[in-house]
Amino acid sequence: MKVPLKKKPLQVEVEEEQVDWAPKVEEKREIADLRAGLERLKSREGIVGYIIRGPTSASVDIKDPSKIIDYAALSAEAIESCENVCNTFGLGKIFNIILEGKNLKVLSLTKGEQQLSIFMEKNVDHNSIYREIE
Amino acid sequence: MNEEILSIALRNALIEIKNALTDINWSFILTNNGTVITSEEDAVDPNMAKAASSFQSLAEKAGPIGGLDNMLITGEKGMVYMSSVNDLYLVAGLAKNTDLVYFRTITGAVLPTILKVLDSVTSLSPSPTLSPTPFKPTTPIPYPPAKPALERPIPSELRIEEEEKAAEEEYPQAEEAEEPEALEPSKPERTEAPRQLEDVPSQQLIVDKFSGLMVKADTVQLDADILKRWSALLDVKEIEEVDIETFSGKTARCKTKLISDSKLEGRGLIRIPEKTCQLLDVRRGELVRVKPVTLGESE
Repeated sequence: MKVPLKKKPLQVEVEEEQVDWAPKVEEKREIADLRAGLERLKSREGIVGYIIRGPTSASVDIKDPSKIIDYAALSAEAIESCENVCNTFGLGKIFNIILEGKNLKVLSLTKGEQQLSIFMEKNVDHNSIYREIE
Repeated sequence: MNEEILSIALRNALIEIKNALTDINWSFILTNNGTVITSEEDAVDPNMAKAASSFQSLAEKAGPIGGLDNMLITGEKGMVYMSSVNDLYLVAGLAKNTDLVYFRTITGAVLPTILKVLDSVTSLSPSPTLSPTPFKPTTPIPYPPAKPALERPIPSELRIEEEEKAAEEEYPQAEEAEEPEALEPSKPERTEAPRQLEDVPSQQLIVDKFSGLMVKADTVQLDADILKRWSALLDVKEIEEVDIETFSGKTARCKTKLISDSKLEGRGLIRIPEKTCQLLDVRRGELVRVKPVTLGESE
């Protein structure tokens, strides 16, 4: 009779503990993985750089530092404008955004709370980059 | 170009594209200043206007990547594709599994062709809507017109026959004169010209032709330096209009604008819309005499 009474509260305690802290560890691991993935991508031919923006921090790695501000403004505007468009037309969650200019293209996406933009030459296969990050 | 014609033609094109590609949910076309000029629906949806404003702010910030040529948003329930066509942007809402290659092939072939046809059609028949400043005959700058130019037929709308007759009377030897010194401005006849023309600076500039959908036929583009120099010389705030005179004696009064392409600045060019080039009968690379219009001259 006494054995099941002791086991039951122990099980509940373990479950609660997992719910509380497990996602935080998962999220940190995801960010670390994302950064590691981006570091690998950066060395690839045609990749100009990337910008990650989270709720509390941002990380920028652009080959030409004089363009960081312009790229950051474009990255933020791309995600914000496209979210507005998607909300307007009811397209649901955005998987990715591809912007193509005359010189470069940008792949933008949101992963968890991180907004990410990768700047690359036009001949780079952005689909393979997307698959790698996802 | 008449914007109504443009809007109707593009709307029909969007409808036809939608008929060919059933994956298109909606589509519209906007200008680079964010105005929706047409959609495949009867009226412009407020959602489209809202989206257009988002696209415009994005296009404004796309300078670092060389402007916004194409954009694709892939969402949970579909895609939004935007593509620049000349000075316009096509925006289309597509189903999730749309064949993008096919879509791009159709839109990339149909829309530029329609725009080109419309452009050439309107270039041939001047539209009154976008040429508020008609070509006004102005007093020609007194240099003898070149001989071959006098033999060319001259369109009646420019009303310059009288001027040419006057020029012939003023320079009776112009027909015989083949030497370039006949063009020397230091001829005694020059003193007979109105004083106003003597005081106003004029400059020979090389013609560069340009065209486009939203190009106004009555506005030419000039170097900022030239306009500044003229406004300093004439002691006016800005030069709003210029008189253009070809060596065949044809003249036109046009509004001024700065050269929009930075690569063409400082080259002594005057960029004249294609339609105006046709009316003046000048070609790219030819010289024209350009003179600022002073307050007394302008009406």
